[in-house]
Amino acid sequence: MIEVINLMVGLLIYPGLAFSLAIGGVFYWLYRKVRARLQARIGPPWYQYFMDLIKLFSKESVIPYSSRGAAMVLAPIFSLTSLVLVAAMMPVGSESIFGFDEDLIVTLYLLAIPGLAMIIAGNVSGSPYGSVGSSREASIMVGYELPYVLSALTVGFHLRSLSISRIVSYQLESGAFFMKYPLATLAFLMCLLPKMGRRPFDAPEADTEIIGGPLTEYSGLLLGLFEVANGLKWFVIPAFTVNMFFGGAANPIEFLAKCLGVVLFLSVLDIIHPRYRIDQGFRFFFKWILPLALIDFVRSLIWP
Amino acid sequence: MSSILPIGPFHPALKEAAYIKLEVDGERVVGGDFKVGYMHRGIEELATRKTYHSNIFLFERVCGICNTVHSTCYTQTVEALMGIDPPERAKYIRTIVFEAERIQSHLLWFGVGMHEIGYDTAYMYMWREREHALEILESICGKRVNFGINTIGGVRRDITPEKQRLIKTKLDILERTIGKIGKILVEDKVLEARVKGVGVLSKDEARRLCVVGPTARGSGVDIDTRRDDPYAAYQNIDFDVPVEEGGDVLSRTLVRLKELTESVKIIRQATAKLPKGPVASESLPLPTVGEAFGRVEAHRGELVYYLRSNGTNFPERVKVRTPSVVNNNSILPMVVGETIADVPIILASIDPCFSCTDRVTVLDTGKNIEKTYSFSDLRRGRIK
Repeated sequence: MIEVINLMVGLLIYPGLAFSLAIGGVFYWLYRKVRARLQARIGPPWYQYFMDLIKLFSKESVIPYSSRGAAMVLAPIFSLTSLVLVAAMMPVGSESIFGFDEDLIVTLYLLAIPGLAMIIAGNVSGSPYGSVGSSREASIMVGYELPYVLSALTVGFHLRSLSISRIVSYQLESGAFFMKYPLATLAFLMCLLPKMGRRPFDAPEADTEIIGGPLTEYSGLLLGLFEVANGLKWFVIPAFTVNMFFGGAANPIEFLAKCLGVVLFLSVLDIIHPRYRIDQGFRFFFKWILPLALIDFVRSLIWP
Repeated sequence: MSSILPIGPFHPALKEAAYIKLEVDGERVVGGDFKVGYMHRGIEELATRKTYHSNIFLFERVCGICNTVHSTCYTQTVEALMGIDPPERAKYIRTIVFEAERIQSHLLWFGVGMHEIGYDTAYMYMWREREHALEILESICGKRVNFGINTIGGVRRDITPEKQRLIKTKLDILERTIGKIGKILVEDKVLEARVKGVGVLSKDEARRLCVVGPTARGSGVDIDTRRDDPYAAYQNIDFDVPVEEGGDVLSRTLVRLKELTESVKIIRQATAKLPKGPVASESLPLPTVGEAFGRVEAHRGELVYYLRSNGTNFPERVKVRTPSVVNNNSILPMVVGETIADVPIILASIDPCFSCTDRVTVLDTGKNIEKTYSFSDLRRGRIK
């Protein structure tokens, strides 16, 4: 009984859904605020993201005549579930509640699902913008997933361990990995931009080209679920980065401060760039980011 | 195998309603159809029921961004019909307002263009700097849009020495802004990747489609009404007409950038040379029976007005040919062969403005029926 309660608390409250969503929502607001201030605008109040969620949840969800309904409903649920699971496994501070020995691999898999959910969402929604968006999402995924996984595995190979908790505790003892593997860190950070749908790699959701991309036909509750997933991403992905390359943290406050650093770094990159065309974005990852990731990956194999 | 991707009638890339039916094969555009006419307002018909004087304010409302262009062209055509020549000072003030409006229009265009390729930071920056151009216009005309400065036989407001000083300080700020925009265009690699070699309109194609303004000058066609057929005070002012040979989006952008510099130059000269005297003619004769034809170089290209008078206080016929009417034809030749991602910026690169007439099409996706209704059908209530 206690275990079940613990499990539910871990999944739904801390560090799962509620906590991650609150922090993610605030990080997302921070991104929007920094963006607005650097663009000579005022920007939204801190609760804007949560108000948006309330608004979306209170609205009707229209499922278009030409869509395949079941898959359209399932896509945001896939996205949300995978992110909640990752949030629950993520060590916040030094301790992870649901961590196990191979959780790095599981995390990498689960973090690929939001992208796949986008592809499904675009394809089944019956909108031409959606199908263009999902084909773009698919091609950019091919571009970034390989360097992303390689640079994450660099750390794993260095320690001969696939446990995130182990990686964090090692870094707490002997220094963060970004000192040892700067190229892999850079590659990893660049891969986060398309993963979070940020410029210059936001072609899948380019609003001036294909309206909302895969989300064009979504409305109400279903769009709200995608928004929740987006909010979770703003916490889970920086948290994963901090755990992998920036040494984790001994306590949650320090951990959140480091996550904030990653969020600001990604925000600034987003603000100062226009959008790459999808073929240019794809080429960028193969030409520059993949070699960076490969160099450090090989280094971790030969000379750990 | 190609499929249809609609751009419009309402689309984030379009600031006005138009419909572009793109045939796409994956990301590649292989064909298309272009349709305007969602904002027909019947202005030409309305103009025949208003007096020559009230028509100035009607034609200013043809376009919000280039309104003094329309009123200048209209008043010049009416003045030709009346056989009067406005005072020199009025001509200089017209030139100053005309060029200040070109600056704000081009800065607005730069912002929109940047937004189309996702560069929102540059977009916000340019629109912030555009405020300085609007402040110049506000100080001269008292308003920020629909300036109402022109009247038949002159202008309605004078430029005082204080205003001249304000114009000078604002122009200094604008000059720095233009320098920064040039820097963004030259230095940003991502931006360059998005605009260089995209949407090419060759010189021959540009001539064949009769495009005007920066669209033509970006393709190496050296035309500019301000120099070729001077009006207002342009014959007394020294300026260059920038021409680029590339024909792509970058060339059209560079043409506009250089035009900004030229506009600043023109305003500086015009404010320095401003002659003394009245700003409007005292007496206005009735227009003679006959017709007149006027043209100016609007921000988007050559704007043409045709007027026929029957000797009364109401024009018998007014015909407006806006530059976008000809420039819109160049959209399809430019987008075919490019990718979907390039369509918004190509579309924006001609700075389009849409207006015409159209019918209603009803689509039933369930039964796959497409039916077009004419205006008379609508009036008789035939639609179920």
